[in-house]
Amino acid sequence: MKTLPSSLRERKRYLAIEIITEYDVSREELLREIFAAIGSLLGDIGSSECGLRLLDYDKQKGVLRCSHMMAEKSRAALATITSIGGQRAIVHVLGISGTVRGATQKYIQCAAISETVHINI
Amino acid sequence: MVEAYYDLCIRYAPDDDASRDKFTSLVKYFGFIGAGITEVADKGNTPCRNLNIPNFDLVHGIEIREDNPSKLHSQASRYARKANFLIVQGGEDKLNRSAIETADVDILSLPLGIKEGGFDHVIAKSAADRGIALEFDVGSLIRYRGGKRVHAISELGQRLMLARKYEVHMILTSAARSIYDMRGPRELVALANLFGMTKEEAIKSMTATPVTILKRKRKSSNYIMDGVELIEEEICTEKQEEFC
Repeated sequence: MKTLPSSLRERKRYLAIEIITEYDVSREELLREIFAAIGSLLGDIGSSECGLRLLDYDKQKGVLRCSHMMAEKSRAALATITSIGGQRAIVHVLGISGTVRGATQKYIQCAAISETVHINI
Repeated sequence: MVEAYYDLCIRYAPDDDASRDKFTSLVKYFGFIGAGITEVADKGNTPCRNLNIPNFDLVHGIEIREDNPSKLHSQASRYARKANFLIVQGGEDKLNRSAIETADVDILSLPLGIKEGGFDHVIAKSAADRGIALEFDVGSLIRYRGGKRVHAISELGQRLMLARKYEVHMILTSAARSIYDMRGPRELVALANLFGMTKEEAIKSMTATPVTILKRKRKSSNYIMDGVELIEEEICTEKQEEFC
């Protein structure tokens, strides 16, 4: 199958996220919790419209892809997460961008540079 | 878009300095410029605390939980001067009416799923007249799952409809019971979107409304009583020197 031309591709948004927990959580635990939250809030139809996919995840920060129409809904679903892998957690959206590079440069790398701002509860 | 966000009704009181530092650094990191810690009124607690934190506006509120409507007035007058703002938890119709009529009350908080009462058009009208804000607690959308959350969303939507119609002030809050219940301002906006609140309304209920409530209660050091205020004396002395 050939890749679609860029004009026909679905528009997307990239959410730079940060997990605030006591200890690090694994990618699998995070994914399970995200899909459980979005499934219970928006149902199967809503979650398929969101088209969520976790792209990068490392050291409590990651980039999440979703459909551009559902960015706010996805944000609400992420806010309903209370615990990941049995420990209390907050999923904090650092920012939303139209490209992966934008999300990483603007929100993830900037936060890494100003390490003093970063909190580890 | 940098706004002065406030989360007024946090039901979590940090016990020691370390947990308070943790709490304030997290709230600051989320982008709030101020937060209100709300404690339930109790004869034992001493609400007047030193809450001075640099670059952060940490205020203190008292929540009154009183089932007897006739005792509400005395409770309110007892705690009104001790805290920055006053919240009354409503419930049945009579209690809500009396809460709306009580002086010094700033915010009306209503639990979800009350059979006899809740937020109706009568309460909405008089709350709008008295300038009492209604609390929209999105914490219930975070904590609950399934049927309970469905009811919470529809009840908050109903309240929003009445608040819009009668132009009642709204307060959007996470009503966090622990540090992990806190959410950032944009997350609260997204959650408020779920029951139909627009982005503008949500931002207004986290910025302008809390500021007006705090301004109303915060009196300058020269305040003596309603309508009487001490005007700066320094100006007078300078003038006298000029005459000499």
